[in-house]
Amino acid sequence: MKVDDLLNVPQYSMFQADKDKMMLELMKTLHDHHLVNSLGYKEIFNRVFKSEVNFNSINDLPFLPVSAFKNHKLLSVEDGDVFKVLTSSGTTGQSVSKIYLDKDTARLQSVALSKIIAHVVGPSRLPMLIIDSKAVYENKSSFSARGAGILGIAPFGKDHTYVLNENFEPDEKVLENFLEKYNGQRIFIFGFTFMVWQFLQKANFGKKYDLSNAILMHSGGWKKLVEMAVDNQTFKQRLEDKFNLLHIYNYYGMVEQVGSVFMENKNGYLHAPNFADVIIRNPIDFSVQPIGEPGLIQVLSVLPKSYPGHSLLTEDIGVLEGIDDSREGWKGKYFKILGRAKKAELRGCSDTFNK
Amino acid sequence: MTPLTNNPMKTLHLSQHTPYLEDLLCSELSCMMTSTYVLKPFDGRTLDFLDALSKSILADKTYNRRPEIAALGFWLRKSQLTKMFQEQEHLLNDPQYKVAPLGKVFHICPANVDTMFIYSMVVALLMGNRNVLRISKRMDAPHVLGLFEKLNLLISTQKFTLFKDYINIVSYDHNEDISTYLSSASNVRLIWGGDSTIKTFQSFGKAARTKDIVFADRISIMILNAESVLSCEGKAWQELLRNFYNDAYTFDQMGCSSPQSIYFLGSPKGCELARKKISCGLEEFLLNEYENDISSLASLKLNRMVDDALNGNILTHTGNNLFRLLELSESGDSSSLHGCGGGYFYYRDCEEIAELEVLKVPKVQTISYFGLSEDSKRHLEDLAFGEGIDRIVKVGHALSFHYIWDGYNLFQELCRKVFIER
Repeated sequence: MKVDDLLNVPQYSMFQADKDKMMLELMKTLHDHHLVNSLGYKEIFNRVFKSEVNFNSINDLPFLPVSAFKNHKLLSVEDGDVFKVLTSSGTTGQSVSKIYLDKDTARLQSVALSKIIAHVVGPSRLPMLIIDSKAVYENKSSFSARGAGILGIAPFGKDHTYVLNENFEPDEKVLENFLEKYNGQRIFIFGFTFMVWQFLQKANFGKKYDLSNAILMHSGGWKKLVEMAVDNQTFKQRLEDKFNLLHIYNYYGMVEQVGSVFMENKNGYLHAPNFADVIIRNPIDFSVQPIGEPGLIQVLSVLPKSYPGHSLLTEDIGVLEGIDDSREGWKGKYFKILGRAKKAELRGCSDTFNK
Repeated sequence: MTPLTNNPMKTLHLSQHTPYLEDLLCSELSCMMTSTYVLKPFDGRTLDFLDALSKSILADKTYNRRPEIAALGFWLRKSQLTKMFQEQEHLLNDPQYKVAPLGKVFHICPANVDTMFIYSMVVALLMGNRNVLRISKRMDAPHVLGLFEKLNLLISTQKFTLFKDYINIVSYDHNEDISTYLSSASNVRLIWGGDSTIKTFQSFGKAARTKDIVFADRISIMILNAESVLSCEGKAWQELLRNFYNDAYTFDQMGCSSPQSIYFLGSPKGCELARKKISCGLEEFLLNEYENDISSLASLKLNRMVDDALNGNILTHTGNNLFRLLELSESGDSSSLHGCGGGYFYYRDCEEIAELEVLKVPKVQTISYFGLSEDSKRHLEDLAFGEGIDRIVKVGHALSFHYIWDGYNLFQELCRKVFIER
């Protein structure tokens, strides 16, 4: 089985037992590939993980912390073969992750994304409403995160229409014209979770708009919304109340691992696609947690070949909710996110005069 | 500005430079305005005041789970203070000079949960100095704020009202004007908070004669005799685990005196067995005792392990995310490596103390030991004769404050000797 085969099987159709077998083979191949091609990966494997070579299950694979890509240049291709470098979001002063993609890994990333999006949006490109402003591409500091995120999704829609004006204010005329133009047709809405809340849900429009034909996809984390005491359920309910918006899909992913897009299923749980998976780890000894036991989220993807990001431990805390038995029939593992490991560092003696 | 009160703890709301800054500070900080020094070294009134503080701390049940605060309470008892007084005999009764205060001491305190600055303030007070403590706005540890409340309460009583002019605690955001003013108006700056804070404050102006006593970033080490660990049983074993915990985990291993690296002393086999025994013991002990966000610890440690692996500092590791032991590589330097804290220990096996030559550098502060023979202890003392190693203590006492700290006798440092020709 090749990576492309996993991509081409209908998403969420594989039983976990079958998927485990296929993933294990592909992950072993990736592991060997990175061992040979990334000195950094080899050092980490030899010194941090037991140098076992026989992996009996994907649980046995080593996992790098996502932060490893912030402090170290890790790649498994020659510099000359790097086709594009992805960077994570980060506030000023923080270091950002750098992810090195060659042409092949970049292609796989784009195919993988299209498979997942097609699963919820359908195979054809729909008119696309973006809850952001074109100005997002001009602002250098926010570009790496939001701009790149939108550009990654944009190819899966057409007639891209930005609802916010240059000053990041909702432009009701734009919305109205767009909805009139595609009256009664299915449309695709995309935005970052916080932007959707702030500029769609909370916008003061003169009229009431019906978005019952729309499919909303959003991502980007809940941190800001949690501060405002808005959870996923509230988020969805309020959008339904205001716009009759029924098809809402949150997804979880990170720039550090291409291919890991965990789409929300109908019940609000995040679902692993065929080519990626999730393992919940006990924070005390990194053992594998059973269903229902919270822990740190490890994400796996068979896509990253140009850099050793196929198995990563995130700083997010989550819990596995079930395997192969989700209510809408999707197969594989589904989980939910509970929060984030809080402390970036422990404070010591040398700690008086940082502002 | 907050309204004037008699309390020593104040929050100054001075966000911008004001031409009246000095006037404002002087009127707020009574330490800065009066000039008569009435408290003699180890003055009876000071001893009473500190003893009252001790009683108030020891009576407070909220400190039951904070051994470091309880230790402060015990250290402040009159019997302890009297003992210290007797130990300063040579200083206080030298016929050649009379001891006088240095004057106004500006204490720059760390923003973390560490309480060491209270001890140095007490030493300064015992020598009759006036004290202004700068506390970071970020300092929100309830047990430290609780101590300030106790001070406030005591000073508001008729009996101790005098101490209004001896202890002022201020909290302000990073403000160069205030810091520069306090620096230049003080006779001593006592700077906790490590290298970066020291650098920052040394960049601010001060008077030519203002003396700096600095507590820089340091590295501390633990030495465990493998055979002693292996033969330790029962109550003594439980005590060893408790002592280890107190030294390393009280401040999440982030105090300057908390061990970063452990040397196992003994035969290779003995060291290995000792490591296994101590790991097992601590993992169980910590499960019940150590309250911390384990998910954060896990992430911190994995990140640091990857950094250490890529920097070539470590070879391998054992343990779990409560207690992680990392084997140092040939190039991993135990005299400078500082881990991420929270139970992250570098280790190396050695057969003789003489192999610890690497520790003879100024960066090394405390060596705590368990189960050493008299011979080994003497070797250790020999190692300290040079530029490094300021403290040699038993495991369990790494954080115990002594007025001889970081190579200073603080009583000596915080007074003047007035030469009087006879």
